Amino acid sequence: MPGNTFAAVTATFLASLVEVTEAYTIVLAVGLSKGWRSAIAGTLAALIALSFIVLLLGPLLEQIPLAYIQFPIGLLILLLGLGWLRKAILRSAGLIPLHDEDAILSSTLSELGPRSLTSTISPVGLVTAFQGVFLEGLEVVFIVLAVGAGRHLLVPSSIGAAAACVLVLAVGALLHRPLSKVPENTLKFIVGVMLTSFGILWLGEALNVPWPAQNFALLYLAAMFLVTGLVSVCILRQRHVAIS
Amino acid sequence: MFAGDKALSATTVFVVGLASTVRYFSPLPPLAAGLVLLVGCLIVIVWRTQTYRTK
Repeated sequence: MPGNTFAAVTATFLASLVEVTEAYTIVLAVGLSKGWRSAIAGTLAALIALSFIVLLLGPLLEQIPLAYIQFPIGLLILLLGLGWLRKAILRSAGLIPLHDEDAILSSTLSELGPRSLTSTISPVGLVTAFQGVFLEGLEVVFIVLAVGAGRHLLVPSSIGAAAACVLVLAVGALLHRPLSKVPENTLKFIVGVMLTSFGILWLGEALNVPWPAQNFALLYLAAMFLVTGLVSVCILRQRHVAIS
Repeated sequence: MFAGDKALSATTVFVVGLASTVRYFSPLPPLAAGLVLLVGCLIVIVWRTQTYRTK
């Protein structure tokens, strides 16, 4: 598997793992509170809507010459990557709280109101599950399209995202509890570094920048952001400890 | 999706604009635009994390 394909599959797999874990918690809350019919119906409806977006936009973007889409997609992916990386650095340093799936389950359960496990589909449960899966999935769809479109990497990127979906759903179906053990922040850190590197590489290519050692550009760009991120975490932790 | 940190988004767009300007409107070699992009983004991420204050 060529380096960029492997990186695209890894980025979409890890990004999806983060987002699907968050969506799974909402689906679990709906299942426990309003019954599994509503949870499954909402999830399936959202997955169909998301697949429709990929099937519609993916081939459309593949038709546009790479030169036209490289710059805007590079910029969007860079913005997304830096956003994820910033949040992951602040969470690792303890400045903002880590994503707590157990707390999210409790708050979603209280938002859903009293437990009513009926055999019919609950509109509230259906909408909540749909909304949760659709909104979290939209970010995955964007990453799949951005990483895959124009470079004929749409299929490998989609496979990466789908594999994460299957993995989370399989583990979730076995456990029936929030997947709190998933190291979401570490994954977010890695995905942030990868997306930022992809963004810079592609923007550079759109500007005809001759990156030294072109085939390894993604690697050394990622290494620079990884080191910068880790050093930032260390400095912030020390300062945080010194203040408190 | 991009609503997290407006200053981060705005400065990133500025860095990308600066790199484009260096590439097309300056006598510097094309690699200079890549360096502006890379160093600019590294500065942005350091700035937006190191100046973060808890409320």
